[in-house]
Amino acid sequence: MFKYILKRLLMSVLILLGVSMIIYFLIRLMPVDFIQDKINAINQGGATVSEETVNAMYEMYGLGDDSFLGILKGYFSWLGALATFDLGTSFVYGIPVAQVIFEHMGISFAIALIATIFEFLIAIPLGITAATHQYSFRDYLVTVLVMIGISLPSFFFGQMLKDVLALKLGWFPASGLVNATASFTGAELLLDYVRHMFIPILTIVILSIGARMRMTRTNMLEVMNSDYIRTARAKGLKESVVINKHAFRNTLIPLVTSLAGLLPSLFSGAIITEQVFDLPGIGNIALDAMNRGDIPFIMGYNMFLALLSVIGVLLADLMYGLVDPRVKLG
Amino acid sequence: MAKNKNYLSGREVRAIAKENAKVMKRLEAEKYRKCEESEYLTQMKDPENILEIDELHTYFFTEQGVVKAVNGVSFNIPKNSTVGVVGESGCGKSVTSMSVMRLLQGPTGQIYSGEIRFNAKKNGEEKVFDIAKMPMGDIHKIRGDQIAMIFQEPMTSLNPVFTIGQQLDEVTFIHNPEATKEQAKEKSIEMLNLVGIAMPERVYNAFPHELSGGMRQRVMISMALASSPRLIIADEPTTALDVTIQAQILDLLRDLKTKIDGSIMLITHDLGVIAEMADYVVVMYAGKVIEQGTVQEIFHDPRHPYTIGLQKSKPTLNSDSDTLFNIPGNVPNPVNMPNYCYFKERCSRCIEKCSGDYPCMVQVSPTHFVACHLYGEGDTNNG
Repeated sequence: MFKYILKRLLMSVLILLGVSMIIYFLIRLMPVDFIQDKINAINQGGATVSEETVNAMYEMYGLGDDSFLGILKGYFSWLGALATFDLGTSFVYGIPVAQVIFEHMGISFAIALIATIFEFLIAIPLGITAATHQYSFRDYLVTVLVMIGISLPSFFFGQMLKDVLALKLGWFPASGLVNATASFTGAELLLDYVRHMFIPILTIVILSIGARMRMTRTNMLEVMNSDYIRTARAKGLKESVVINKHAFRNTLIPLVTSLAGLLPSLFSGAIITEQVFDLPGIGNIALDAMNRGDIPFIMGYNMFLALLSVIGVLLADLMYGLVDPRVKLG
Repeated sequence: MAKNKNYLSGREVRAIAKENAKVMKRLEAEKYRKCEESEYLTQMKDPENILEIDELHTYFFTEQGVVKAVNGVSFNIPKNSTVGVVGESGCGKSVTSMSVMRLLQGPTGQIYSGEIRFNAKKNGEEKVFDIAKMPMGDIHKIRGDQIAMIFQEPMTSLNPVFTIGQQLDEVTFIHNPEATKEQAKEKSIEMLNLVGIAMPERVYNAFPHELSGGMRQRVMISMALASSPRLIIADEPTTALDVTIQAQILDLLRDLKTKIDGSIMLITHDLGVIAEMADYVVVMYAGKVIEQGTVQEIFHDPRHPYTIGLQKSKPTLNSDSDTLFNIPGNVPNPVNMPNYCYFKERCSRCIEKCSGDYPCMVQVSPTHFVACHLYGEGDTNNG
C-alpha cells in the first residue's frame, strides 16, 4: 500500500512537470502584455516613458525574449525558483504569489465546502427517491426541478436571486463579504459573513444539485435492478433495509470516488459567482490576473490546482479500495 | 401497401400508454394497500398440497401493449415433492416463480388475476395465504421465511460489498431478531457446512468475488435454507455452472429436500435435470401449461405434440443422426396472442378443430393432463 502511494506520488511529479510546461508556454503565447498595460497607464497619467526604460522593464520581469528559446529560458528560471519552494512575486500585487493565494483562498474554500456539503445532502436523497419511485410523479417533479437548475446560467440565476432576495426583499446584503459600515467582532462578524455568503452559496447549490442528483439516480437505478437486490428482497428483508443498506452501499461507491475528485474544485473558486456577488475569492483574483497577464500568479494558481487534481485522483483511487472490496491496490 | 403489423401509430401508442397507466395505478395501489390478514386468508383445495397456483395471470404493461407472460397457469405442488417446470426461454416459467415470490419488477410487471394459495406453517400453526392478494407490507410473512428462492445467476446474486458472513447472518436476524452475533455466526457456519463448503470459517469472512461460481451457488442455497423454508423455488439453479458442478448442486438439492422435509419447485429447460430430480412435471408453452403429469408419464407417454417435440430434440448418444431434431417455427408474438391453440402454427399434427378455441385441459390419467384437441373427444368441458 505504502509502495503504491509512493509510486503514484513519484508519477505525479512527472505529470506536474508536463502540466507546468504546457501552462507556461500557453501563458507566454497569450495576447496580454502586463508591461505594455502598465506603460499605457503611466502614459495616460501624462508622463512619458523612454524606450530604454521599457526594455529594462521587460528584462526585469523576464519577458524580454519572445522567441522559443527565450520562453524556454523563462520557464526554467521559474522552475528553478519553484525548486526552492518560491512561486515568485505577483506582478499585480507585488507580494509573493503563495501569499496572494493563501489570503484569498479561505473565502472561496468556505463557500465551496459549505455548498458541496449541502449539494450532497440534498442531491443524494433526491436521487434515491427518484430512483426508487421511477416514472412516478415524484420522479418527474424532482427531475424537472433539477433540470431547471442545471440549465440556468450562474450569472443569470445569481443576478436573479440577488435581485429578489437582496434588492427587492432586502433580506440579505447584495454583494461583498462584510458590512462596510459596521465593525463587528466575534459572533456578530460570523453572522455577517453568513448573511453575505448565503445567496452565493444558494446559487451554487441550486445549480450543482442537478448533476449530482442525476448521477445518484442513475447509479441507484442500476443497483436496484441488479440480481443481488432481488436476492436481498427474496431473503425477506424489509424494503427500507434493501434500499438503505444493500442498494445504498453500492450506490456509494461512485459517489465517494467522485467526492475525492472534487478536491481541486473546493479550492479553485467559483469565478462567475464571485464576480456576480463581488466576493474577494480566489476565482475573482484569478480572472483578474488572467486579464492583466500576471504570469507568476497564473502559474502558481494553476500549478496549485494541478497538484490538488493529482492528489484528488490518487485519493479517489484509494477511496475505491476502501469502499469496494473488489478493488485491490498494488 | 403492406402494413407492418408490428408498427404502432402514435395514436395507438398513446392509447396503450393511457390504458396501461390506468391499470398499473390500480394494481400498484392494491399492492401497497394496508389490510387485515383475513382479507388474504383462504383454504387449500387439497390439503395435501403446499402450493396451489390457480388461473394465474401475470402481465407486463409495456409500451407495445400488454405482454401476457403468464396467461392462466394452474398447477399444484404437493407436500414433500419436487415439481419440475419446463419450457423454452420466455415461456413464463421464471415469471411464474417471481409471481409466487412477489418479486416482479413494478410498476410494469403485475399479477393481473388468479390465486396463489400457499399453506404456511409458523410455530406449528397452519394458515393458508393467497399470495397474489397479499399486500407488499405483509409479504415478509412468506418471502424468505416460508418460501426461499435460489436464482439462476450465482455470479451476480450476492451483494459484492458485504462478506458472505454478513449476508448469511442477515437471514438469521430477520427470522430471529433476538439472536446474538455469535448465535448468527454459528448458524451461518452450520449452514455452510450443510451445503458442503470445505472451509466454512474462511468462506464466512470472504467476499463473494473471492469464491467460484459453484461455491457462490452453494452459499445461495445455504442462504435459502437458513430460514428452514417449506418450499424452495430453484430458478435454473445450474444453468450458469459447468456440468460437474451441476451434478453436485443437484445432488445437494436432492439431499436437502429430505433433510428439511419440504418441497422444491425446480425451474429449468434441461430435461435431463427434470428426469433426475422431479416427481411431477409441468410443461409450459407461451405462458400456459400445456401438459402436466408425473415424471414417468411425461417422459414415457408424452401426449402434447410440443412435449413430444421437446423429448425428440433432446441430444442422445446412441443416435445415428448428425443433426438435432428441432420444432419448426417460432413462439407467437406475446402481445397479440391468437385465440386458437398457440402451438397450431408449429404443430405437425393439426386437425380441423385446432382453428377453434384454445383447447381445455384434458385428463388422460389421474395425474396426467394435456391441453390439446387431439385428445379428449367428447370430454372438452373437463376443465
